[in-house]
Amino acid sequence: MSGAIDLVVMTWRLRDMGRVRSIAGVLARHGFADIAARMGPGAWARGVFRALLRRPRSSPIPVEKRLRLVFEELGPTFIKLGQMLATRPDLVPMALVDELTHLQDRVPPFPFQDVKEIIESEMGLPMAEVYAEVDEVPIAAASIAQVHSATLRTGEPVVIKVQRPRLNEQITADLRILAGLARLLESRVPETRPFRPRAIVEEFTKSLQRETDFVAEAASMGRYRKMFEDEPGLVVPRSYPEWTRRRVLTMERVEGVKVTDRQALVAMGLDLKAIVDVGMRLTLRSIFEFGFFHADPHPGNFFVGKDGTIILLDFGMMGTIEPRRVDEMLAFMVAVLTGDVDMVVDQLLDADLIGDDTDLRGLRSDLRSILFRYSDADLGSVDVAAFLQEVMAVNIRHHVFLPADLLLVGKSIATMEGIGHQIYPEFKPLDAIRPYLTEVYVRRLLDAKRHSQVVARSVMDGLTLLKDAPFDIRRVLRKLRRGELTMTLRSADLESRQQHTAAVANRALLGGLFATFFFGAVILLDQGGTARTVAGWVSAGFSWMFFLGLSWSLLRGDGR
Amino acid sequence: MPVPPLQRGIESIVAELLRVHVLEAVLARPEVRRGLSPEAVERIRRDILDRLKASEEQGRDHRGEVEEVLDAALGAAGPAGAMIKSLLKAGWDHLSPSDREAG
Repeated sequence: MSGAIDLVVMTWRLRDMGRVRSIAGVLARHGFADIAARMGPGAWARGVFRALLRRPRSSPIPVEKRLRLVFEELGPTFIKLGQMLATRPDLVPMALVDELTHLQDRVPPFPFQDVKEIIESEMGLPMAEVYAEVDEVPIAAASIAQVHSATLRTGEPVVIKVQRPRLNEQITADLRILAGLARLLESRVPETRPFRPRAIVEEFTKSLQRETDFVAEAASMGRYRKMFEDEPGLVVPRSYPEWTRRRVLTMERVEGVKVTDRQALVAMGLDLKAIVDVGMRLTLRSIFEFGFFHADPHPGNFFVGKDGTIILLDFGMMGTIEPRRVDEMLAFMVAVLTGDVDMVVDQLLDADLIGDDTDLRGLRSDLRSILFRYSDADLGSVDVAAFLQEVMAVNIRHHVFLPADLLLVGKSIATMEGIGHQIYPEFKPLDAIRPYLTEVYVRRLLDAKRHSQVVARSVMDGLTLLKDAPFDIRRVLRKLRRGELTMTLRSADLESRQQHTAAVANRALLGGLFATFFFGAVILLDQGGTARTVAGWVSAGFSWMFFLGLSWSLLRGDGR
Repeated sequence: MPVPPLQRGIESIVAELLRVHVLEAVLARPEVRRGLSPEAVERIRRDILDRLKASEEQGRDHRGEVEEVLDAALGAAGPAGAMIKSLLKAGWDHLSPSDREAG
C-alpha cells in the first residue's frame, strides 16, 4: 500500500515538477521559505505540515494573512480551496477561517480573442452565428471564468460566462499535487489523520469539477428557479441550454445593483427591511424545505432589481442535503435556538457525531453556559454568526465531528445575516430564523405524506425480504450441508501486519540480491580477462543499485 | 406522478395516528413553545389538522389494500404471521378507536 503511495507521489512529482516549483516560489515569497525548501526531493510532507503549523517570527505580517495571499497568488484551485477551508472551522484555526473569508476572487481578464476561440470551439460554430453582438469588455473576471454582455441572434439580451483558457489543465495538475500531498500527509504524519486530508481533497475535487462544468450549473439554475416558482421576491436568470456547453454558459441578462450598495438601494426608494427578510427566507427555505442551497453565498452573487426583487447569480457551487439530514439539522438548530441543551446533545448522539472520547458532562456544561447566556439576551441583539460559531467551537473542542454540510449551512445563514446587517442595520435575524425553523420542524414531524413514503418503502422492503427469505435460507443450508460455506473476516491489524511482513520480505530480497551481485562481482573481477571484468563491473553496478535501494528503505524506516 | 393506492392507504392510516396521538404532543414540546408565539402555534395547529384530515379522507377507501398486503405477507410467514397479524389488529384497535376525535 505504502509502495503504491510512493509511486503516485513520484508520478506527480515528475509530471508536475514545474508547478511544484512555482508553488514553492510563491511560498518562499510570502515568508514560507522553510516550507518551500522542503518541496525538493525527499520525504518532505512531515516538514511541510509542521512548518505550516509553526508561526514564523521574521515577517511582521500575520501568518494567516500571508497564507491568504499565497492562496490568491496560486490561482483558481487554491482560491477555491481557501474558500472551502473558510467554511471549515473544524479543520483550520478560527483566525485563518476569518482571514480566508476575505479571499479575493478577482483576477485580470483574459483577452477577447481567447473568449472567441473558446466559444467557437465549444459551440462548433462561428461566434457570429450564435450571438449578434458580444461586448469585448468583460463585466466581471474571476478565477474560473469571465462574463460578457451579449445579444443573441434572436435579439434577446444575454450574458455569457466563459471559462478561463487552459483552466482544466491547471486545475487537474493542482488537484494531482494536492492529492499526492494529502496521501503523504495521511501516511506519514499521523497527527493529520483525524482531519482526513484525502477525504477533504476528494470532496474538494468533486466540488471543483462540478463548478467547472457549466452544463451542470445551468441545470442547478433550472432547479432553483423551479423550487421558487411561488416566490415573487426572487429572480434566477433563465439559462439557454441550446447555447450552453461545459465551458460556456449563456443566460438571460437581468439588470440590478449589488445588494451591498446601500446608497443605490436607498436612492431607488426600496424597502430595505423587506429585501433582507426575503433574502433570509429564501436562504432558509432552500436549505430546510428543499435541501438544495447556494453554497457560495458571498455578497457578490446577490443583486437587487428595480422593483426590489433579489437576483441570485452563480450556481456553480450548490449544497445538497438528504431529507434525513435535513430532519437532523432542523432538530439540532431548533434545539440550539431554543436553548435546549439535552436535545442538542441527543441530536448529536442520534446522528452519531459524538466521538468515544467525548466527555458528555463537559459538553453539556459548556453548551449550557453558552445557550443560557444567549437565552437571556434580547432576540434582536443576538449575533447569529457569533452564536453559531461559539456552539461550533464547543463541539470541536469536545471532539464532536461536525459534518461539512452542517457547517456550510451555518456559513450560509451567517453570510445572509452579514448582508442583512450591512444594508439594514436594525435587522434582527433571530426574529426571523427561530419561528421559521420551529414551524418547519413541526410541519415535518407531522407530515403524513413524508412518513407514509417511509412506511411504504419499509413495507415493500419487508415484503421483498419475506419473499426471498425461504430461498436464501435454503441456499445457505445447502452450502452448509456441502461444506461450501465460507466466511471472510477483515482485520485492520492483520493488514498492517501483512504490510510489515511484506516490507521485511522486500528488505530481505534486496539484501540477498545485493550480496549475490557483490560477491559475484568480486569473484569475476578476481578471475581477470576482458569478458569477466566487464561482467564483474556490471555485477558491481547491480550490487550498488540494490545497496542503495536497501539503504533508502532502512533510512526511511517505514518498511519499504 | 400518481400516488399508488397502497401508499394512499398508508398515508390515511398515518395521518389518523398523527392527528389523534402525535399532534398535541408535538405542539406541547418545550422547544416548540419556546420557538413560536401562542398565535403561531394555533395557526399551525389548524393548518396541520386540516391537512391531516384531508389525507385521512383521501386514502380512506384504500386502507383495505394495506390490509390485503399485510394479510398476504403475514400469511406467507405461517403461524408466526397469524400471531403478528392479531397483535397488529389489537394495536390498531387500541390506537384508533372510531369515536376518538381531536381538534
